[in-house]
Amino acid sequence: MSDLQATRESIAAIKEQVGRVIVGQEEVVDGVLACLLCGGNVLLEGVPGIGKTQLVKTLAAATKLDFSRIQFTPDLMPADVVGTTVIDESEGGARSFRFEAGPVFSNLVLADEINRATPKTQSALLEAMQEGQVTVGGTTRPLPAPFCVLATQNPLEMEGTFPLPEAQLDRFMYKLLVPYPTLAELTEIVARTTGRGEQSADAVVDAERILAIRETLTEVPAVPPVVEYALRLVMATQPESEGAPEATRRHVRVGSSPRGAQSLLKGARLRAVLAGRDSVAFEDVRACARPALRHRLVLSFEGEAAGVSPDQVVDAILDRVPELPEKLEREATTK
Amino acid sequence: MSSRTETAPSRRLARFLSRAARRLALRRATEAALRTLPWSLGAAAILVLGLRFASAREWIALDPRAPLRLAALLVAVAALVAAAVRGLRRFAPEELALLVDRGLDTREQLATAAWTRGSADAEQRAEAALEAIAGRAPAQALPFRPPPWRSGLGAVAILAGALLAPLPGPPPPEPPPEPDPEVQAAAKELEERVEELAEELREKDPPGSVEELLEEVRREAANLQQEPASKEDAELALQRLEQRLQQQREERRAADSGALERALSAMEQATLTRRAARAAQSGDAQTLEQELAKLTEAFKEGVSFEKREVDRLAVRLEEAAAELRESSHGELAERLDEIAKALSEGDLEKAAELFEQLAESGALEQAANDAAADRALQQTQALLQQALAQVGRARPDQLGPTASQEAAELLREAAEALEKAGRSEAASDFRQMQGQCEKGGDGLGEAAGLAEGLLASGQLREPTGSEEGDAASREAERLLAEALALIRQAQSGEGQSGWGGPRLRTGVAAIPKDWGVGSTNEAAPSFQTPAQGHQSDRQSEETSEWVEAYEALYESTRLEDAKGRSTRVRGQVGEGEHVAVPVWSTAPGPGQAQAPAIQLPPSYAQASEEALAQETIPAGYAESVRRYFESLGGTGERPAKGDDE
Repeated sequence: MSDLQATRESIAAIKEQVGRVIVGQEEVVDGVLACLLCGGNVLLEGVPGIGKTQLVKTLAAATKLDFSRIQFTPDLMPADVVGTTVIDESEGGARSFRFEAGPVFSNLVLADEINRATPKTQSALLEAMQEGQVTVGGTTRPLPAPFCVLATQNPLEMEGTFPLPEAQLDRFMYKLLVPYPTLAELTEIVARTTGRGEQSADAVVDAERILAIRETLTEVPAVPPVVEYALRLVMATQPESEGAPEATRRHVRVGSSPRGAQSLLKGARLRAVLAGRDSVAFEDVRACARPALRHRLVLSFEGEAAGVSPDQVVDAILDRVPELPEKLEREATTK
Repeated sequence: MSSRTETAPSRRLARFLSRAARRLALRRATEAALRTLPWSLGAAAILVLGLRFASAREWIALDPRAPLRLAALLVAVAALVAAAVRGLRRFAPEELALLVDRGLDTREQLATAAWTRGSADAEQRAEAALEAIAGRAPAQALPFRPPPWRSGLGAVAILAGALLAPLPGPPPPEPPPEPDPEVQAAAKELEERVEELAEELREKDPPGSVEELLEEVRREAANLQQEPASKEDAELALQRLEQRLQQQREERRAADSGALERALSAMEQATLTRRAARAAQSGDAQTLEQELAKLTEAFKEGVSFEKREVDRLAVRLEEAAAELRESSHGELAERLDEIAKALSEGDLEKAAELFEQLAESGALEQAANDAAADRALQQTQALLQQALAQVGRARPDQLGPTASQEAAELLREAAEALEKAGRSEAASDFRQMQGQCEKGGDGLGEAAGLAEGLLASGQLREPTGSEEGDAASREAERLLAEALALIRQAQSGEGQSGWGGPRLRTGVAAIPKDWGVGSTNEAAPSFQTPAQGHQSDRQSEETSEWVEAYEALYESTRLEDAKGRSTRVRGQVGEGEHVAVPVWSTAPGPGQAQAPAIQLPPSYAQASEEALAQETIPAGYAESVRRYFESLGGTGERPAKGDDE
């Protein structure tokens, strides 16, 4: 229990430091933190200039983690991401191969506008995102822990972009939609960034602490009904499943993979801790459903034609799938 | 101490969950009971409607509150069963904890504590859970939920409608049977006539049983008028009474009256006691007394009677005494025997004295009274038969042998008696008539003609030289008279109803011996067929000087101051042949006659009533015909041919 309290305090400290630089965007900050602390990756989608890069940089500063930024362009090559082997000549003229690590070898990797790179380059991140390692020239090299890819993409400029393949998307724990700041937030942003004293984040945790927090979070209990609820939600995204709501059947072509359930429960655990509880509640699962599932739903032609968003489908699933088992749900309803 | 403290939260949590379990059971039971209301009330409504309908139709006898009780019972049983089934369902603590978490919005802390029981941090989690639910009760987590009032209220409305719905009532009770006019008319007439009979009989000191019987008949007739009775009921009542009357008559006849009847019949054969005997037969005690007084006075004054008449009187009186000797009229038998002996010895003075003593003893009057009682019973029986006929329930299958068959039987009986007495010639005539009766149809007419001729000729009254022969002849004459009446009846029945004139099985009244007699003053009937010539007046032949003296002396007292004389009138009896009938007409003088020339005896009226009772007369005309016959008594007219049809 004390670990949980320490975890809460650490997270609170990180958020405080991030909050010194980032104005608003609490949900995004929480999501990014969740991915970092749960060992996942996050895809940030938002228009340019709303602080995505700044958020990652601030987070790196607050967590005292290595940070690298990769600007994805169509001509970016995989080696530009993971690194390459180069011939190194010594003073004595001896030549040897030397691996030049790419930017992926950092704790925090910002894959900016990831959808502008070719699928081949995008795929260079697959192994790193899932397994925390890269293989170059037949040699597998582990990435520093904690490792977290924070990718961004611009939803507006779709020309010349390469949509991320499903396998890539599935490896992101969350997909966060970064909203445009409100007027008050924008005012504050302008005030902070155009004045003389620009705020910066101090490091409050380190890599080890983050790994410890990850370990602690795995111990947050989730009672079987809650786990079952998360699984039923994921199952409900499959249009062929028995409990799929009408929205899924009509608008979804492919539902979530099991990674979606993992993401749900991981995020729910962190959310429970952040909420000051030591166990996962149904509402934690519900709260994590959108970011954990939205990028895992492949809409059908009918869904796309109807302009249905994945969030709408997730909301429909949340409405239709009861939290409790059916026999208990009858007793729990108030009407 | 520390261990106890450590286990306390989990125990408290377990107790809380136990209370929650009871609360949930109660809530489930209550909700189940309430959920049964719509359909159980609906079923109760159907049940109530069904029961009320069945009760209204009188298919079942039901207390008015029974449908409501049964409906309440049905609702209660349904609610109890549902409550028991749902209330007994058990929930695991983890499930209960989840429900409480939901109800108290404790974010699954209780569920986590319940699921992590036995783990290292179980107590901490239980403590946290208890803190989360601090101060709150299971009832808050599991509140009673509103029942489905709409459907329940709808069912209540249906039940109320079923209870209050107007249903078709039972078929209206059948109105009490309307008094049957025919029954009432018959009963009224019966009551009046029986009352008259009883009134007449009351003066003659009748036996109590006869009076009671008549009273019973009168009472039953009154009841039939007051209480609406169907024809079937009336028929049953009348038949019962008629059977009792018949039984009474048979009992009396078996005891005394048969002997008395035969004795009076024997006395009637003697000219000198004929009137007295007839008065006794008709129960006319006053006339009887007068006749006896006249006879006594005649003997005393030495009226010269022919010896033959005196001897005949002695013989008849002896026969009468013999008839009465074994009966209850023993005293009368002795007196008659003594008188017969005195007459046989030619001691008329003693005979006169004995006649006087007989008159004073009242023995003959008692016999007359008994005869009057018998006659009253006979007439009452006839009235009952008439009433039965009026009620209209007499059916052929209830009727006995036809009149023609009975006539044939009587003729056969008479023929046998005559054959036994050696009067084979007369017996042959009777056999012939018997065959004609059995043949029916035209044979009846032939038999009637032969019978009338035989009766009018007086052939049967001729002395045979033996007492046995004379007795057989008298019996044959009597049977022939009865048979003739039956033949007439059969002829009438065949002509009107077509079923041969069957007679009622019970209560067939005997044909009176004075059949055909015109009035109280006339002589015995004397029919003469045209072929046999006129004035075949046997009586006139028998009438000697003493008779003339006798009539001249006493006729004035009988017809008051009218001096009558015997004449003969030709006429027709029913459909029979033209005959000459002796009648007494008053002497010509100024003004109207003081008394009717012809008075039909009661038996004649009775015969007409019997004829009416045979259903041979259409019901619509029966009353008119009866009134016609009644009117004859006052006017002295005889029914013309066809009037009785």
